Amino acid sequence: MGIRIHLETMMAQRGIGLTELADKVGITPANLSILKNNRARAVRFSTLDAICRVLECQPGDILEYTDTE
Amino acid sequence: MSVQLIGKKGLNRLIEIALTLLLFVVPALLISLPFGITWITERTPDDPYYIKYLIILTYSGVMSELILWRCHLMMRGVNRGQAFSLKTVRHLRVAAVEMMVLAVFYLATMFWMSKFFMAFLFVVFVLGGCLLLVLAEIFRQAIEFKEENEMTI
Repeated sequence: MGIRIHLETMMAQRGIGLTELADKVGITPANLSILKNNRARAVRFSTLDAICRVLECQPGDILEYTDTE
Repeated sequence: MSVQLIGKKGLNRLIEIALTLLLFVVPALLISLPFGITWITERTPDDPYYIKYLIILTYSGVMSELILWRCHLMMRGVNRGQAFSLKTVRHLRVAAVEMMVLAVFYLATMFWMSKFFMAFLFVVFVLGGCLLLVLAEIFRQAIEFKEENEMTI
């Protein structure tokens, strides 16, 4: 998929771990790991909203589109 | 009156038990066929129809046992919460093929048994096989949607 999520970078900048972020966002650490490792097929706006709120960032800070073709 | 549909005490569990019992009943009936045919039809083994009945009922019994086994495996999967799995799709497809094979057999028996009755059985089992193939495809797509939904965070 061309959309990549750079969650690790933002998490490192904010000094927040996987479990803590998952807890604050309201998803399981397993699901957050799936998202972090770019294995997710889709992201709900509500999840993206919660991530951006917790990490105090914009969607563009963690989402990137690359042409894979 | 509500009926609990999921769980050990649910209706599904009863169906699984019933299927398991049938798996033992069918072979017992098959073994007793030579005596059963004589008892029900009053035809002796030297009667040409006796052999025809024996062949048709034996083959029907064997195929029924195979189809019942598939149903049993599917029901077990449902009771384990694994209804939407590729195993279920495979079981449905195999059961469909088994029904089609039985239908072809009934078609072949039209040449030496009651044409109307055998034609009726042929149509019933072809329709049944087609229905199972459609169900298999529905389950396969459902699995795709399920996996897509599970990977939606």
